[in-house]
Amino acid sequence: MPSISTAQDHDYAELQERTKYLTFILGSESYGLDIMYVREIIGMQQFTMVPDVPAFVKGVINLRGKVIPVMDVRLRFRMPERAYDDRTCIIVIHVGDWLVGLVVDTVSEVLDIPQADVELPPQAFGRNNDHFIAGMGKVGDQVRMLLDAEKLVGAPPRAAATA
Amino acid sequence: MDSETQEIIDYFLTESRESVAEVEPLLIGLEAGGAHVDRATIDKIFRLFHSMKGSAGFLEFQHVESVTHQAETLLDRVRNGSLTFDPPLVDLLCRALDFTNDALDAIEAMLTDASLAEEAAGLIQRLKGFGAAPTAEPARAPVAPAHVATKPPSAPPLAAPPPPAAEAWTGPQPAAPRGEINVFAPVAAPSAAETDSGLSSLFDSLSRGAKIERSLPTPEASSANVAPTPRAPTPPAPAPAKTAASPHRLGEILIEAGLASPAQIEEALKDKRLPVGQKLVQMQVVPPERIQEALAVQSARRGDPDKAAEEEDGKGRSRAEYLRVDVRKLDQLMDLIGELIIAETAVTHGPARDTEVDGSQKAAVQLNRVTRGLQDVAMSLRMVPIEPTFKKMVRLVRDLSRRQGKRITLEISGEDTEVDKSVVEAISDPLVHLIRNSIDHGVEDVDERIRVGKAPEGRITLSARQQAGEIRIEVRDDGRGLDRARILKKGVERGLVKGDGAELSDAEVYRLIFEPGFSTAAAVTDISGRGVGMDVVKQNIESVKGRVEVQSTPGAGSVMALRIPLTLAIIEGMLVRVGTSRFTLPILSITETVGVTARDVTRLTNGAEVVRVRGRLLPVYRLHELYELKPDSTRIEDGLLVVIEDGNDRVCVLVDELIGQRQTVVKSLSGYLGSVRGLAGCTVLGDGSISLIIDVAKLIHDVHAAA
Repeated sequence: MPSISTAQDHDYAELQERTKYLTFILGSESYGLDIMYVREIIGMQQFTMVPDVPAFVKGVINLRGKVIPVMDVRLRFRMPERAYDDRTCIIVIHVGDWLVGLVVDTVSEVLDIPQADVELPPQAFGRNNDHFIAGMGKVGDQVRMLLDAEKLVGAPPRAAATA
Repeated sequence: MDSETQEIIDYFLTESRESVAEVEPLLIGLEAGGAHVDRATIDKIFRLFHSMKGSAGFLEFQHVESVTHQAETLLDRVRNGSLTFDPPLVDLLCRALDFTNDALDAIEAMLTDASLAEEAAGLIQRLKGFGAAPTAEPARAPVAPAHVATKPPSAPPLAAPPPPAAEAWTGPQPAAPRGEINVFAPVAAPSAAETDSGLSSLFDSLSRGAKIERSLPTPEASSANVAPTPRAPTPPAPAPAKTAASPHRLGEILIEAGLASPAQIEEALKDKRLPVGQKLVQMQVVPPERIQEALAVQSARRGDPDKAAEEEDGKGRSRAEYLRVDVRKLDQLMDLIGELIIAETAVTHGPARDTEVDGSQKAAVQLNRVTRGLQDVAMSLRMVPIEPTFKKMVRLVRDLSRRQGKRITLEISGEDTEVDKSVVEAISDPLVHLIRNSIDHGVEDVDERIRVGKAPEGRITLSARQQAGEIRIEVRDDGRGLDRARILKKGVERGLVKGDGAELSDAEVYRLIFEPGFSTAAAVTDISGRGVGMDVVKQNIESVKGRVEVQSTPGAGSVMALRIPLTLAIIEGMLVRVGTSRFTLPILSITETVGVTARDVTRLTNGAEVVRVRGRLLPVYRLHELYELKPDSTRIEDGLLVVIEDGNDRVCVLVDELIGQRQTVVKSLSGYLGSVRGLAGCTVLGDGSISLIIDVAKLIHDVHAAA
């Protein structure tokens, strides 16, 4: 029955077109991360250093018995380091086989951004972190940089470090 | 594919793989036995093939079914004496096993064995043509229908006259209409065991509404004067003669086992007030536990004849006592127990330890005991005997040595040693490589052995044993041993060795053969072989935190030893502190802890420090330097030196303080971070913080590599 399947396709397409993003702040800018990747948000924790990893990997933390690595997104973006405060958060994301914690200045909100309002990042972005950007989401008169979680976490840092 | 069918197929795969693994050594054992063919073993092999055939038939894996059917036919001819059991037959049957393994892989991947049609057809031809088939083959009743794969599929078997081949009964007809009656042509009364599994799976399939198939009687079958009769669900034929012959009475069983003499049994039987067993115990002839065993044998013999036969094979373990458990569930259990131990440590080493609340000490001790007990049990669940892994090598040795015209016997010992399941998986490939290496390069051929005055028959010994928290698996051969000079030459050529390497120890030279791409074929002997993946050995063993050691005596043979920690999950550790960081050292690798003064330390020209401990000069590793930490003090006399060893290597690590001994749950340091210098992983401490666990062998290796 074609009419039904068309209706379903339509619903599905509409679902596809809307994505929820967790937005967070680094310095003066706001970024979004597809909520599908986000496991949880926790406060700052004591981490244990791990030798021989790039500077942006701050170490490992104990998340209820699971040991997960934590990266400072500021350092990943080569932004200046900033002292952690009580608003500093760790966003735990699940990418591929890994759980990874992302240290951000603060988490703001969850936004619904229709696909129609997402533009590809401008070609000549002129910043060294542009390849982490999956798209630009327009929310009202503001723009949020939507991050590509896979690229952000990237290959294991050892490989990246030697590259 | 519904989950139930998937489950049945999974079960079929596991069971069939086990059967194949079981048949192989039996076949080769029989072959080694020479002219005398042990009937019981043949029966057992027959049963294993038969149950594979039955299950494959039920699940409609026609190639597996028809190949196993043909193998079964050959075995039957051995049983009735029309075929002798000789090496070519073993070869062929081994080929059938190989095929089955391939087919099982295909089924696992694609849920069908259709891709193997060609191989199946070729193999069936060979199986059929083996040993010039007698004219009127007394075909066994095809209880489970099989397919004649050699027949072109275009010939509609139902309509066409049966081909004149000796075995022309046809198997499942893909086009058979539903609702037809099953027609079988029973020729000879099948053994109980056979009827049992074949029929039950058939009835199973019928009750599940499976496609109803039919098969036509062959001309031979008809002329064998048994008319095709609709098969009614008759009970299995009465127990065959073999089991009828085995004793059923307790007294007879005891006599058979040599536990009591006929006279003693007579004596015991005279007392009518007590059962024989009790009387014998009372007479102190037989210990009670032996009576229990005999009773078990007796009940098994009274029951399922198939099981009874298994008992006779010395495999008293009945399958029903085992439970198949998803390994992931065991892993989950281990994780939870890990959590429990961490929590337990938090309690017993936490602040509450010092507060003497009503018997809290006692409770803590009790808690500790229970968690350790629980841990031991949980670990033992993952432990499996190494036997099947070892048994697989029997075939390898046979095939390779024959191919190279060498005579080699494989001796196996310690096969009942139990190891973690993950270890079994990790050592399987390395063992193949090591044994292949021994056969290719170690053991000489017959002529050469005679020339150097050795027994013509080479010997490879495969052994396993537990030793101080480790499993030690050895592959020992009595061949020519490793050629130090040639390995060294190759190592120098490839730039793996600085200078001429004359100062290297034998162990260091032998270690070269595990370098990736190090061609042992060219380096050790002139026998050309495939690239023997010795680096695979090292990698696999290291993946389970093990080590490979090589010993060799020129002319007398070599020993490759795999040393693998007994458990990967939980170790006894010593917690140490460097500045604010805490590290765990495995207790088993700590020999002692010493405090030294600056006078005891010598600084070498390259900046490295050595210290004299018990007359030995040991290198000092400053953990704070290695891991760029800020220690309490950099003065060596302020800290402590922990002496750790790995085999013959001994080093000291400088730490600020020893915190204490801890039961340590090893967690991997996130796959994201990969392998980190000198570390085995990490553990979560009682206070929730993380301690890195040092892998002594890796630490020494990594520091050497960096130097």
